[in-house]
Amino acid sequence: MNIFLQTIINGVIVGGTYALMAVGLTFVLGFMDLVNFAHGELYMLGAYFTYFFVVTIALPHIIGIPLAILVAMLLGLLIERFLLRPVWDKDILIRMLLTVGLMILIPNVITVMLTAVPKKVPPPFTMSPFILGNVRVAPIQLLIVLVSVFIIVLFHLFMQRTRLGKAMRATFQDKEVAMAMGIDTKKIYAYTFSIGCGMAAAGGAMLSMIYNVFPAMGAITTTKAFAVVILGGLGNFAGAILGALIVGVSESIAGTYISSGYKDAVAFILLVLILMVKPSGIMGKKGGIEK
Amino acid sequence: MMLEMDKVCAAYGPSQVLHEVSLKIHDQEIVTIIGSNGAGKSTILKTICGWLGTTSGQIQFAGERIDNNETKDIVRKGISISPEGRRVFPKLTVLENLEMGAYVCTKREFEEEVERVYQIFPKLKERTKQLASSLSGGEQQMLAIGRAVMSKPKLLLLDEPSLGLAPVMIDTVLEAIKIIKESGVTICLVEQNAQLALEIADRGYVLETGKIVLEGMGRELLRNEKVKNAYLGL
Repeated sequence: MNIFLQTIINGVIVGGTYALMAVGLTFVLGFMDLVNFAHGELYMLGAYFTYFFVVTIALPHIIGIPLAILVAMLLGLLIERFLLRPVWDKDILIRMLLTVGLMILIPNVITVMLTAVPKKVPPPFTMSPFILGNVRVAPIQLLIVLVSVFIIVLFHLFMQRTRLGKAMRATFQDKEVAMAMGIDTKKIYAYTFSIGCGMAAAGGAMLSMIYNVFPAMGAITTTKAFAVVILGGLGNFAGAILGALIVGVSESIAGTYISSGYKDAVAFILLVLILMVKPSGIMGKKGGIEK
Repeated sequence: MMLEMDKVCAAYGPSQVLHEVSLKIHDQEIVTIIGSNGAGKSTILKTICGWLGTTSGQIQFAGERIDNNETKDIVRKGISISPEGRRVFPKLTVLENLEMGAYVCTKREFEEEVERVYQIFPKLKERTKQLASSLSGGEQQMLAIGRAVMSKPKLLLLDEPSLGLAPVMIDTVLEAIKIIKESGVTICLVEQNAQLALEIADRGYVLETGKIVLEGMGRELLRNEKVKNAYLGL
């Protein structure tokens, strides 16, 4: 029973970071019709930027991590401006291939620049685990999941309450009419992509403190984030969060009771099973993507 | 002169839709453009609000050329549209839709305008927190018009506001259009329902296959034999 409880807790913690990745991905996918295969690369860059700020130039985590996220968001603005903007009106396949190109390009550039040797970002503190009954929770993991939840809540409030958030929703519900309201839809596209990049980078920045940082870390993250997003229902935020928790917990259970070697396969097996029963995903609506 | 179109041509890809359309809208007028389906009525509004570029000709608004300007800049000059098919933002609430209508305004202006819109359409006030997609067709039309007046436009473009509405709803919308006109807004009304449009319009233009074929005072056009035969079904 204790092992089981521990397994669930571990799963929820992992799920929390998956949720952050998945919300960013589903946001860009649902709002912009952009299948962003480079999402995980921004996650990877978030980790590398964190390494740069926290290890290379030795800033404190509390400054280094937000800076890393900010730099990733700026990079997102540049990618949008120079690569995506010329092709927004083109076929969805062209944009998709463009992100596939980025998915190949970015890790290779990093490998050339920094080699593929894994790097480590030390956690900001070392504390012995919290022990509740027989369940142990590492403080750093708890912090990571809390920050993930915080970012998701902040994002939600931003979209619901702020003028810019509402303008984003309006733009992706009806771009032409949004323009007729005076909304600068080009800017909205740029900001939206940038926010998606920021969320990916935030995930990478935080996980850099417990996992190795290496160029190929983005690819598996992208595929897993897609599995979560499709599982939950394309473009559905609640679905993405639920999907993330399901995948996190199932992986954890598989790791404990089957073999940790099969852990990564769980998300995809679940994906296939759910899609056979409900092709639109757990919370997805029939006939496509929600805005 | 509020708006002047001079020999405007426009095309969707290779097919030309507007052929040298010239029309004038004076301050504080209601001008209607009538014509059958596919004549290019909506296209005229699209070129005015910048959704569609012109291929030749000029559009002047308050003495300034606006053809081929960006839509977002045209709104700021004082032109606003209630589009065909209403096109409210379905997943925003009524209030959020109105807030988007006032996107170019300050917060204070928004708060004043929203009260005014709720006075014109009390029904919207009852529904303020509901998603626009949950409204009836008539309520969505009210919202589309309300949203369009939020930016305090000088010129309001109304595209088929009566389409698909129950007669009692049409009366409500017409009343609203009159109130908006009295508050000093110039209106350009595109309608398939010629009878209804000509009754409230000061002047009207008849459009056939992208060309203006007739123009005159609203009442004159109502009596015009050609209009009667072709558009009033008399």
